[in-house]
Amino acid sequence: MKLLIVEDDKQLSESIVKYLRQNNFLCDVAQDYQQAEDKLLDSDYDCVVLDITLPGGNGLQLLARLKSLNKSDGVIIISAKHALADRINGLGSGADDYLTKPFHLAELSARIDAIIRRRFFNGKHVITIKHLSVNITDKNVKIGEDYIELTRKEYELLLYFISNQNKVITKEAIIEHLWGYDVGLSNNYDFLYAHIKNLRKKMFFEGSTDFIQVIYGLGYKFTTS
Amino acid sequence: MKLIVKYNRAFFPVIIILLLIFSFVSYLFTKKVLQDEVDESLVRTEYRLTQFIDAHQELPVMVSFDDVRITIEPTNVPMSVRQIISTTLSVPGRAKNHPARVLIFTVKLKGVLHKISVLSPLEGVKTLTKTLLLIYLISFCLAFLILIFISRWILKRIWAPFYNSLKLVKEFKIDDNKVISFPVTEIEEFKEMNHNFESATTNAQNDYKRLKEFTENASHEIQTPLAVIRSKLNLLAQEDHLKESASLLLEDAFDAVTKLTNLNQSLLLLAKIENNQFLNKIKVNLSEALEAIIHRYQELWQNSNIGLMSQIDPVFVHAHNDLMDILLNNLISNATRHNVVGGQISIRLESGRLTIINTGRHKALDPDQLFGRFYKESANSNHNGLGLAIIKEICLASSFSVVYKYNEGMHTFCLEW
Repeated sequence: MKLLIVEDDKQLSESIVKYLRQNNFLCDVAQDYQQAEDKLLDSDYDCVVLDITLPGGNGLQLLARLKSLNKSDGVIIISAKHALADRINGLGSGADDYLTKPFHLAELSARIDAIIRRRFFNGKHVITIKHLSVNITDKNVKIGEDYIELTRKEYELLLYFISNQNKVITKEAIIEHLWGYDVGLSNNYDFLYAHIKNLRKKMFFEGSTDFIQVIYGLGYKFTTS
Repeated sequence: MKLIVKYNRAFFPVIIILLLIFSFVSYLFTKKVLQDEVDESLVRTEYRLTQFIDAHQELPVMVSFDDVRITIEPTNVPMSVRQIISTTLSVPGRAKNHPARVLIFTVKLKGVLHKISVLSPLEGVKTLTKTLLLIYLISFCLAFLILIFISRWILKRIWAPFYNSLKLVKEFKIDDNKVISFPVTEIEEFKEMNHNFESATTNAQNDYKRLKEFTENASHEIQTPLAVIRSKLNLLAQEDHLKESASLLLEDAFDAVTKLTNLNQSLLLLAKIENNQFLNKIKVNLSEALEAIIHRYQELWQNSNIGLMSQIDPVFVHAHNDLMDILLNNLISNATRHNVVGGQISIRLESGRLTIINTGRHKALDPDQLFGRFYKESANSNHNGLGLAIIKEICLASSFSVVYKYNEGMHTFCLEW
């Protein structure tokens, strides 16, 4: 999968690239409007990570340009602006998703995955990791040949882990992903423990190897290697 | 002390003293003029007498000329000049003597020196001066009253622009976007005052606006470095063989970034509400929004064994959609965060009112500071202390009222619109 990261902050784009590369994405970087436009014209990307405020132009203009070229690239907007108007503008002009800074890299990765799944597999997609297979369309999970029953939260949690395989994901990032940042759960990790415990139990019970590894203090890692 | 009172206190005694002096002087002056008139008539009588004596070479028969009494008596002392003096005249039947003027002169007739006194009573003059004095006093009193009235009226009229400006300044709100326009006046001093008021209020508003914009811009600018920090921490967490101690340090750093992010977003939200960036009001289905939020919290409540009692009527409000979501979320989050294990939350939404009651600490929150920024009831609480301030600001922006009540461990927030 090939991505274009359009972000004027070098530090941030470097982090994004480093994280996503480990997820086997090929990443190009553009730091201003012109570079981004050139790269978009030159090649096709599966997904574009687009900052709104750019030197030499606006991310939304770039989005309009992309749409005028009839390119099918998926677009996720990352912006410091939290305003609903921006979000609506962004999504209205054809972006697939919108993420507010500062985001967790795991969240970005999960969102990109979701866009790619939606756009390129038309939702018909089965992810297979060892003896675990997740059918995105039917939202069911199999260990070997046996279906396991997951709650909605557990299923979302599993997908989140799959989008961030072999990565340490913080408890905060997971909580934000599952419940939203404004629920006020930020220090109520018991909540998360229960869900993780249930997910592990269900997967383990059916004879799976234990994918989920606890990283002391920080969070969890979905290990496949 | 009101200006008019101060003015009257300074002005009236002077006026009264002046009027009294003037009345008295007028009185004296009138009296003098009238006395001079009497004296003149005495001189005329003297002239007529001397003419008579010169013509007839005999003393006239004593007839009374009006009030004038003439007495002639022989004398040895010749007078070179006539004398006019004040005297008194006894009136028969009256105890009091009346003032009078007497003119004395001598005339030589057939070798005999006669002293002639012409006496004219001042009775008429006295009455006249008294009457005049009365007229003076009455008209002065009238003039004085009219003066009071006029000065009051003029003061009111003249100072009207001042009081208008004062009222406008009193009503001035720095966070109001309205520019105050002061009434036009012809009075130079007030013109200058209004001009200064105008520039002061405009400057204050502009400064305040700039400050708010600064807050908003600063919050925006902070987002990117925060994103960098979080992303670097994310990458650091991926390092192989991270020591446990390093993990704990990272956890704390993640926590701090999250707190800073929330704080920044709250401040940004407050700045935006204050900058009136949520003007797009629509008909919001409050019941639906509330039910969606309750749904999100249900799991959390079950976990803490918090019981929910809710009664939600279909309610629509005219407000900003996003703000309503934030408002409801903050209220519910507040009722959850400050609750106790095994506690209760009661939510009642009816037409024009939303009441949220939750169990919590057995101590009322400080009603004066409750809605202030960075209010925390305990030092180690984990929230940023802006939740209630945001509730207050949203209520203000949406013309809702919000009241906090406490009764035996039950904390109530009641919103009305």
